[in-house]
Amino acid sequence: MLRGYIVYILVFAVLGVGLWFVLRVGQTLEAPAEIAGEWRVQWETASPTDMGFHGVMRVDQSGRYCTFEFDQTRTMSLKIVGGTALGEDDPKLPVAQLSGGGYHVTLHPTAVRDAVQIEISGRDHYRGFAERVSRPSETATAGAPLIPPVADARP
Amino acid sequence: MHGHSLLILLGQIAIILALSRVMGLLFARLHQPQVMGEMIAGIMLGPSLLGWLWPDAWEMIFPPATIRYLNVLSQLGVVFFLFLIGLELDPRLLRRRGHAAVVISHVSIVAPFLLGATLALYLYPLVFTSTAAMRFTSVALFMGAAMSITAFPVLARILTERNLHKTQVGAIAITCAAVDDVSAWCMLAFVVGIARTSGLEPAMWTAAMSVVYVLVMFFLIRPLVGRIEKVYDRQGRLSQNVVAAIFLLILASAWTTEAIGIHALFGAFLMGAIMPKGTRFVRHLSEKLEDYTVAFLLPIFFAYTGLRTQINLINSLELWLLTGLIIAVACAGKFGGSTLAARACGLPWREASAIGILMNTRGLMELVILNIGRELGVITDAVFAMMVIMALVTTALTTPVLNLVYPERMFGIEKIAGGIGKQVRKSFSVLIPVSDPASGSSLLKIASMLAGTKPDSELLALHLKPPVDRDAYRAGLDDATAPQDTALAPLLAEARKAGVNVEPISFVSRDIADDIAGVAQTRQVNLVLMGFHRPIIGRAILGGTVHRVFTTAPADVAIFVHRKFTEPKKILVPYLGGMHDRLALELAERMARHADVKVTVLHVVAPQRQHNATALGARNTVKETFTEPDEASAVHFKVVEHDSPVAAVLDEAKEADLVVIGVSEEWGLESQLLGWRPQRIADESPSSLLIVRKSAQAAQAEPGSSATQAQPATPGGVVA
Repeated sequence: MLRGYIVYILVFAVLGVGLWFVLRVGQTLEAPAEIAGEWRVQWETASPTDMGFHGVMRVDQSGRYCTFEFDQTRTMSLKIVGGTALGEDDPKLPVAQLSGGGYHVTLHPTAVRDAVQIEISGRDHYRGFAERVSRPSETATAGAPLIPPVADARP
Repeated sequence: MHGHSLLILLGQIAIILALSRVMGLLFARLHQPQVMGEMIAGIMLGPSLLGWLWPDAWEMIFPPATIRYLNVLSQLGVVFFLFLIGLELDPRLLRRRGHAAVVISHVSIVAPFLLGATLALYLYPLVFTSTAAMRFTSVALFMGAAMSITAFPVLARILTERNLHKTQVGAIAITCAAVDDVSAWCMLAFVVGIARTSGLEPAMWTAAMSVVYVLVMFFLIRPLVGRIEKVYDRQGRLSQNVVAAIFLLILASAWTTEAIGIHALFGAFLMGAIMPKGTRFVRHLSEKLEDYTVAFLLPIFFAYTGLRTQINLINSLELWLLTGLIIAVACAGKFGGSTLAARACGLPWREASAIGILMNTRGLMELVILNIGRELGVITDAVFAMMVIMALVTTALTTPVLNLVYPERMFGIEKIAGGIGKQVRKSFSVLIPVSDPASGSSLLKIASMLAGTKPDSELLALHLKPPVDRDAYRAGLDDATAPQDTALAPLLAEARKAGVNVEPISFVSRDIADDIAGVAQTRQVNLVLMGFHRPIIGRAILGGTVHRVFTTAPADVAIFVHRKFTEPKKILVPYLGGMHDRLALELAERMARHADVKVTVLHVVAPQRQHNATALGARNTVKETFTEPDEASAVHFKVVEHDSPVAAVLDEAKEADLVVIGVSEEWGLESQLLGWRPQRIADESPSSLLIVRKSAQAAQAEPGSSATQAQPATPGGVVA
């Protein structure tokens, strides 16, 4: 019986200490910023319609892993590899740098709230201005942080 | 809802129900839990398969605008399902068990919870997003809770199907699952509370209101339910007013917990948990609710889950490796934690591992918790898909891994049926498998005549219970552990009245013929005596299960076909000389020895043929069989000339109470697997029949005979 109580105390002590440790370490971690949602894109370079990059850009995001979909016609699977979205603090850095499937996508901050300059490079180079019109977290919970506007950061 | 939307919704539900049933049955055939098939059906209807293979059809069947209707139905389904789960939870289960079970159950929650939370440290910067709902605390607690869930209904179902529920392993596993169930939903309520509130004040309010809610449920609602039960007892039936009152209480409880901020499902579960246990009222209520919830609403929940599961989001090796890691951590926490705790409590490694494997079953409970996480925004779509895969893998692994680690021979028929070691050799033993309770007394009468009243003869009554379809999502433990088997009750009552000693054996069987043969082998019986029920497919009596018992049982087999059977006084034994015919003779002799009956042995020969030698051989065999002088007078040997042996037997059968006849082609009685051929004697005989067949082993050992057909022993034979 005594052995049983000791096991109990041990089990719950391990749980308490373990959970405390995990939560404490976890507070120092940062998940990638949310770039998911629907973006309206205005291309500055020649419109890359031949590649299907036109109209509304829909971004599905699970942490670093994103899917960019252009008007349900073309999809790119990309991973965030750098930028302030990963918690890096340098204001000179882009919001997010993504790569995958032979493409590199860079989202540069702008002065406009919830808007970025988008650059897609691969076989060709495209540049445009993207403004987020909706995000998935709006339907789940309110108050998720937006990409902060950066004063005169437009390249 | 527009008429068009209603049309689409009805079509959607029809497709969901049909596919879910088909897949459920298919997986049951593969010895997997039915729920596995239904979960897979849901995934098949979603973007991961149908939407991927045939996007146009998928969008036509499931247009986004109509998904919300499916959502409402699925939510309602889960609310009622959680009520049923709470209803099934029996605190007596926890009280009866030893300390070991309680320790194992707590370790089986703590270990995966801690490992799940620790895994969040690695996953958080990779597959979670920085939103208000996805704070690390919420994510870590949710991952912990999701890892520590065990599917109580699926586990209980596996236990009953494998007859493990009466073993120590089964008892401990079911107790742990029950504790896990309660703990998981309490944990989930806590996690939901944390995820939904930000700041100390709302959290305190949620906690305080939760305490008030639980107190109200136990001290106000529980006595109220007791009063409702009294109304039921007084009326003797479950009136619509009573059902409506219970429904109102379920919905009010779910509404309250949702309003407090700890999710509607917790309210439904607690409402079920405070209901009286094991009473007729509860059983009746659960039967009313179960069919609609399980057969109609739950498949919609699976489909809705499948519609939200995008396996295509796991589109890189890295993500598949992360999925593998999630599965590994889930198994390490649940299987590893439970196994080590069971081992520490003194169980041998094999039993400890079996408990670990059983506890690792997550089933649809994992899907319920994952949907809550997704709805709260605590997990991303990719994590949702990964966790759904984890739920499917851990559930699918349970049965095959359990078979490997803890095979049925460890706890199988030998143990249930008494075991060979326990046996003392009996002079004559009869195994009576009973499926129709009404046939029990007739079978007992014949068995008593065959075995006599000698103390060293033995009668075993066997009832094999197929896994009950309607209990697919419930433990089914009430039926499985019932001390008195209702199917055997008439037979046992008759035995008590007649002063005959009968040993009852009953267990759940997935393969009736195989288990009859198994018990016959284990108990080394001389004869298997069973009734006959016309098969759904085919016309023959000796088809289907009967055919399989005939060909696999390591004992002689007799099939009783009931026709105006009371007290047999006149027995007819058609005899051609084959070995099955000789068995018929032997059994008739036994009856004549133990009861006051007259036996007529009918030997049919073709007209216009020399049949002296044939008849003489048959007469000698009869004389040898009926050796005792007193009994010799009870047998009458009759030779009949006839073109058709079958017609001759049918003619003579008019005068008999019972015809004991061996299986043979001459009699038009062949055992067939599918049984398409009609068997005329069996169909047309005006008297009851006992169709007998020498054991398959004996048939093969007999020189010049085949397992299915014995040759006439007499030289002339009979031309049909």
